[in-house]
Amino acid sequence: MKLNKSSEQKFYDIVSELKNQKYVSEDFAYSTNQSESAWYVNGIIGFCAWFSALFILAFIFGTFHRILYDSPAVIMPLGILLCGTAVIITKHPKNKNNIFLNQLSLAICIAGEILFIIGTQEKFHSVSINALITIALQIFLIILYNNYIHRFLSVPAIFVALLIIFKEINAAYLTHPLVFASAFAILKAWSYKQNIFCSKFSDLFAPISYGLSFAFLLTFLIVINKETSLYLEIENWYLSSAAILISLLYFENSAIKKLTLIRKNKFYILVYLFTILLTIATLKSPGIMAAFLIMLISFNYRNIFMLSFSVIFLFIYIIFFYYDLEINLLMKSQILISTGILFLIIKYLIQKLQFNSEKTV
Amino acid sequence: MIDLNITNVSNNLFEFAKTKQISFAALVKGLELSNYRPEEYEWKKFANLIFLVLGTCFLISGIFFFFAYNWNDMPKSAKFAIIESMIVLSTLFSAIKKPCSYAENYLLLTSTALVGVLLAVFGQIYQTGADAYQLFAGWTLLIAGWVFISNFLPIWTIFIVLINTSLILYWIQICHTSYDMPVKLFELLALVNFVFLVLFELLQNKKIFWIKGRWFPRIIYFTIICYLTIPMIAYIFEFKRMSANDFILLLCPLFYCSFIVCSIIYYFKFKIDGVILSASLLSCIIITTSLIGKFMFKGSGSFIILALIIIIQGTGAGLWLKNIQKDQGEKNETE
Repeated sequence: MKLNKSSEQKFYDIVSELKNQKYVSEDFAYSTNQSESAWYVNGIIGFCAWFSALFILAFIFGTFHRILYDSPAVIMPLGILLCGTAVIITKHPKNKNNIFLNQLSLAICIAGEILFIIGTQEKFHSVSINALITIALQIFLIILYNNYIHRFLSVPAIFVALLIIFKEINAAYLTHPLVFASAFAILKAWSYKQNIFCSKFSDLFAPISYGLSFAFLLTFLIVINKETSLYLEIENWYLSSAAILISLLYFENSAIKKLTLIRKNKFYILVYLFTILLTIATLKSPGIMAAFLIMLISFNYRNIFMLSFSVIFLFIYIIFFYYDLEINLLMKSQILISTGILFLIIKYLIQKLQFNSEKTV
Repeated sequence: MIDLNITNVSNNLFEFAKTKQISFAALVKGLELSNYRPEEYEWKKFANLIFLVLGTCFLISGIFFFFAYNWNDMPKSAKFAIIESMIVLSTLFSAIKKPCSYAENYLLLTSTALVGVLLAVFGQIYQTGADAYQLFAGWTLLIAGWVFISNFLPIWTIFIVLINTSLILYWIQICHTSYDMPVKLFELLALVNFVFLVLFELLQNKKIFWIKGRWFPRIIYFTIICYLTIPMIAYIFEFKRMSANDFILLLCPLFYCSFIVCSIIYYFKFKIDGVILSASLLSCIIITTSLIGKFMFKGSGSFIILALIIIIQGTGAGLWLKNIQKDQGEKNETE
């Protein structure tokens, strides 16, 4: 990414300051061109790879249907072979920035994975084992297959496989530890972003942290939606809500450390109190607080992409929440109007607090 | 809401750290200097906006639910009086608020939504038996006045959504066509949205202060491209049936090609926008693949050729977009 004029100037100032303070050497030369593709470039590449993967599968099943039908045991090794080919293609450092080979390898890899999953189902005839093997395959591919789009998609795939297992073994309650673990992982990943970028795992950060946030938000949508086959009859939603509350308070605490005025004036007590009250109000719908968590994290790290999709998820979960309330329209309207007024009052108070705090300064 | 200049600077610092051009300590210091984490005033601004948006949305939906309850005990005149006084109050307050402030804009947004409630209650009380398109068309007409004088893109978005909905409902309820694919409707909708896109770009070029950001033209563009791509696919696969029915339907490829060519030239030569260009390219890939698939398909062996053709097209598009990304920088994003 080439910087625009004002960013370029700001960047130049920072590098000069780093030179003055001896953080970088005096002869440090830089160019502001980033190698990473924009989301819309990744989007178009991912879309084309998915479509071509479907055509590759249609070709394999169309051409070799007799062999595959007579001996289904071939499907699994064929899948592994295709995934292996994709890994080998991207292993060569020269191929890293080759869009054609990257796309070809992604299409082959997706086709290979689908074949592998069909093959394991044919072999074991068990959905749980299949889901477990899928998780293992995705973890292997995250490590071995260096592809941004694939790594991003692997994380939601692992989450979906886990939810399938929970459903199959009638252990819907396991969703709660999954929620807690993923919320904690997201928090830690973002707070250690600097450390990760300076380590050998820097390539993993962006796709996995985005994938994790997306999967985290998607989980609630999948399990609460009665229309999907993955609908889970989850009781005690308050456990997930509590997990998210802990993560939110932890995040707020670390964010507030930097904000001197809020700390001095003890406004943070109001922030904590509001978070707790909101969690209690949406106890049976943790998706709302989960979206809030991602929204605050993305604002704290200035990530517009994540902020946008967290806002979309927030509205989806609020709609679900009110739609599922087992009360009549009049009650719903009363709750909505009073919540709306409450939020507008809070907005007004924040403005006033800002004024007072500025006066204190 | 998020200062993209800071985001760009910090992204570059991260890129340097990734390629080992700077040390961990330099990265941390650089991020500190770039204000990577938001300041107090930014958090307050963010909280202000979030509560304002959520508060307004909750209030409006609460009012919708309140009247959807279908009160039997409340007199008709009281229902109208409540809604109308709310419209008057919110519009008046928006007029006395600071121009272009969040408060003014959201109050006007509330009035816009309340007009819809008023019409819905009117239909509920008098059981006029009118078609749904009349409600939406009436709503569109009644809010047109303050939409034109408002300096707020979300109100314009609602206005455009209402126009689209009215046209679609009018088509469904009044114009009964014998075709499965309402090509004419899609063309008409594309034309209507195209007018708004052109208006936006013209006004943005004139640097009108409230016409900023790129989300609005991008949404409109995606809508137009969908309206044009869907009938094109139908045209490719059902050419014989469609061509026998109407001459205007034959113009479908002409509209599609001219729109794609003009928009690619404009967003490449005059106002670089990678997102819009990627949408155009994606549509082109879909149409080209459909064409090749339709005319060259001979057995299952063709699938592998189609897969390769898609990858080649995707590669071309990816390479071109990457070059554009380099040229563009974040110019449009920060506008």
